[in-house]
Amino acid sequence: MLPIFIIEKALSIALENGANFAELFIEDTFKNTMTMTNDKMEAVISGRSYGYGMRVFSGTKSVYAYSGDFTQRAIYSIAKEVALALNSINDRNTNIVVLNNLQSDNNHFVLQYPSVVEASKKAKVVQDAYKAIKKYDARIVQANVTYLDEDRSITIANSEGVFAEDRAVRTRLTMNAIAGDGMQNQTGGESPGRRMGFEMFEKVDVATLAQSAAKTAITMLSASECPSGVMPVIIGNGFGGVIFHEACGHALEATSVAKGNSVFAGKLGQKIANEKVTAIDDGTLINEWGSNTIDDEGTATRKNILIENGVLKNYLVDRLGARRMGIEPNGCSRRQSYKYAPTSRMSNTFIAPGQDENEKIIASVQNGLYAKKMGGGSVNPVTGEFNFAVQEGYIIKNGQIDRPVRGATLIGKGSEVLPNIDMVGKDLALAEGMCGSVSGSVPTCVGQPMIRVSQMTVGGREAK
Amino acid sequence: MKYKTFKDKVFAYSAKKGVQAELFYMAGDSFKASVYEGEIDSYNLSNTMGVGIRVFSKAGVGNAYSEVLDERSVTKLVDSALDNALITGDQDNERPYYNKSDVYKTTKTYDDSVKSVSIKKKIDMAKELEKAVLTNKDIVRVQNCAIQTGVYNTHLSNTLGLDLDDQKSSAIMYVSPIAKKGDWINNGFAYDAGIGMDSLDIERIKQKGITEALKYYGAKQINSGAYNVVFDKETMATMLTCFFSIFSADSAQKGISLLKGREGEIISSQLLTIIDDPYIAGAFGSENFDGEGVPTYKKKIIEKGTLKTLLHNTKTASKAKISSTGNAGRSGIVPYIGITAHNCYIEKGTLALDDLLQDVGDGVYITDLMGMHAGANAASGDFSLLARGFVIAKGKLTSPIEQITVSGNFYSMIKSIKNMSDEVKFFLPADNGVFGAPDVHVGILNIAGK
Repeated sequence: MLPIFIIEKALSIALENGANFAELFIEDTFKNTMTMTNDKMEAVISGRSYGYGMRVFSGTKSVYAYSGDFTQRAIYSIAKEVALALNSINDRNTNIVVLNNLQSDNNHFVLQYPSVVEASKKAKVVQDAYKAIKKYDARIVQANVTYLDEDRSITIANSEGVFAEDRAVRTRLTMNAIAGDGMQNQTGGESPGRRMGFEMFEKVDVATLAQSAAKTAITMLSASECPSGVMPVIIGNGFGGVIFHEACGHALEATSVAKGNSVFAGKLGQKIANEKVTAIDDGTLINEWGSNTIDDEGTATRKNILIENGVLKNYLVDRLGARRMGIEPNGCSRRQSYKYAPTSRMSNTFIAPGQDENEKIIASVQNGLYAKKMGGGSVNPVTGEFNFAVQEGYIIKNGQIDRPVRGATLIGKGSEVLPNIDMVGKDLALAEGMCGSVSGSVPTCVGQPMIRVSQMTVGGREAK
Repeated sequence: MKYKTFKDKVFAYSAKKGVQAELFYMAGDSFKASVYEGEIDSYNLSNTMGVGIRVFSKAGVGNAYSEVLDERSVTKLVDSALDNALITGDQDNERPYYNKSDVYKTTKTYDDSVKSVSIKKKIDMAKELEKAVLTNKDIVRVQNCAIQTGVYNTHLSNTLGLDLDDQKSSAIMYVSPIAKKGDWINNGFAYDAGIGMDSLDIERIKQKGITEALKYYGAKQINSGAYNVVFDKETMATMLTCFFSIFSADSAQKGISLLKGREGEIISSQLLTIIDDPYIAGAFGSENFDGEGVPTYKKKIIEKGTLKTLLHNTKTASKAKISSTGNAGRSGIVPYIGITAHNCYIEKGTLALDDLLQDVGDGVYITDLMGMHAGANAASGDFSLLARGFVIAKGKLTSPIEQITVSGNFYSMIKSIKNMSDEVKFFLPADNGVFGAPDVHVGILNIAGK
């Protein structure tokens, strides 16, 4: 950590040279990964990232520089360089920055920090999960299990006097199963993660999840090809929430909204979804994968209701977006590391529980698709076009689950699919993922109860 | 401290611990500016360095990396890698690579213009590009308009005597113009990229950007069904990027790729030849040594339908009892050795694109694919991808198409290739290499739409 007087001086130099806001972000992250595959512990890697990023604004212009050189000379010279790059020397400001708004609460308790847990204990978790996948069925030809822990300490100071610190510990286990019969392969996966230490493995049932990954791969091995065309689609809880994340979430980030590039720009207070849909982004959930005490600009995270009963209530807004939009930032600015300038991102984003029973949702479909487990997806926030992959799907016939199908992709446009979410179940669950965007890859949760979309385009390899 | 001093201390400490070690150093300097409405919108400078180590002890191979190069990090790095070696255990007797008699060819990967051209000039170029695309009446603003340059130095050495360094430069300028006509809105994307500033042509990017933003105006879904499909150069290169790992010996040895032990067999249409060439002047994938220091060379992966070789690093090669093909890959300083391509491409055919389309008659020309990380599965070969493109009617491109998926299986698709055009283009580097392709008529695939 840098002495406070150096940080104050660096921020003051930035103001003197033309910035009207300056921010220093310091990060020191320790990471350990272990990967087991092909019956071997293939790679065990430990590493440390240490650096800082200096960001300055003048109006809505921003300049960002990052470095790993912590000498005073380097820090002051970067502070001057970024401020001069703003090219707004007229705003010369001689305020001396005093860091007096201190924040260092941490609501996300850690019982077992990664650095004090023996490597052999971590290895055992990996080996057990690996064995559980392999022994599930003789047709499991390969498994890949990766353990990850991360201990990220950040300090954020800015010219408004904010001095905030956070230490985020995250633990994750990604499990992938490949089933094969010599002619073809199919895959299944589960990837639990939490913002906590090694105690995660007392709270998460790894063996059951390992079997679930293997089961998906085996089920898909004997599944028929998914038919294609427009049909009703039921999306299961948990990772199914990726539909909201892609179809709507990204388009509510100030990154797209502020310049008017989102289909939902200018629509606050308007009905954009079916009245059964309430959607929330909540970065405060204790020990959840996507949670933070403060965001990467030092603002406390909060629960933001994005859509309430179908009506657009809020966007996700970072400091720069706030300047462009003339509103307050709401604690959702994130970055992968000091190598990225932060911007508005999701944290734990989910569709709130509704009133429909799962049995009734399934019984309501004559001919359609049940997407039980989803894979990843992506979106173009300008056109709203999204896509996501179905990892484990079933055909529904006459209100009953009929047979497994594979290879399906769901596509659509956000503004068109939201009004079509016409049934929402009660079984809300969250699922962990990594979300990639302009400020890098950040841990996020998606989530939802079971939902029905009255019609969607399903892409599969069988003509309907 | 200076890298050379750091390296000497790390190797001395490794010797004291009685282990072989390999150290990879990477330092980068980059600049990026984006403009919006004639002003600088964001401006980024970076300056980073770090090292990754692999130690080879009796217990196994252990890895560690750090962005801090101080006295304490010397012992910390080696000790932490040694601890990790205890967990990995036996790794098929892996050793660092060194062969005294190796000769390394040279290839041009650095151009000083990325440094000598001033920042002001670079920003002016980006401003000029934005202004140029906005001259079109249907372009309402840009989503992004940026210029990015960088210089990267790497150094790879080990305790057996390997000592190699490399310098690369890059210059990229891109724009995503937003087109609006009534309620219809779309963003295009166009770029130029190369190792020097002379690769960037504002006029060319402008033209392509405007065309890309506007070409899907009036696009509609088509009916679901089986269609003759042609992938354009970019989407075909994207498919190759996604399914490249089927040619990785590592994937094959693990049973993930279905090509294990199939060298010498016909696995695709005889029209298909896939080449990996590390010596294309000025191309991003060019390099004279790979991630382990093995000299690289040009090779055919598939020749006229026959699988000639899988791609190896020293570990997979020793398992297969052959020599490495020089395809060991690294991702930054994290010392995990994978398999990557250099400049990997599908060899061009003989038909001009117009003639190829004429030959197809009726079908779909795919020009945009989305969601590759989700909808393409390299373990199964299956893909089902959101796509845009154009109707091919009576041998000519006609109306634009959107909101369709194109689905199939890569292993079977390469068997049914019918034709390819007579020009290859390369695209921006992916994590696993640089890829290029001509337009390829892949036969019949399923399309989901209305």
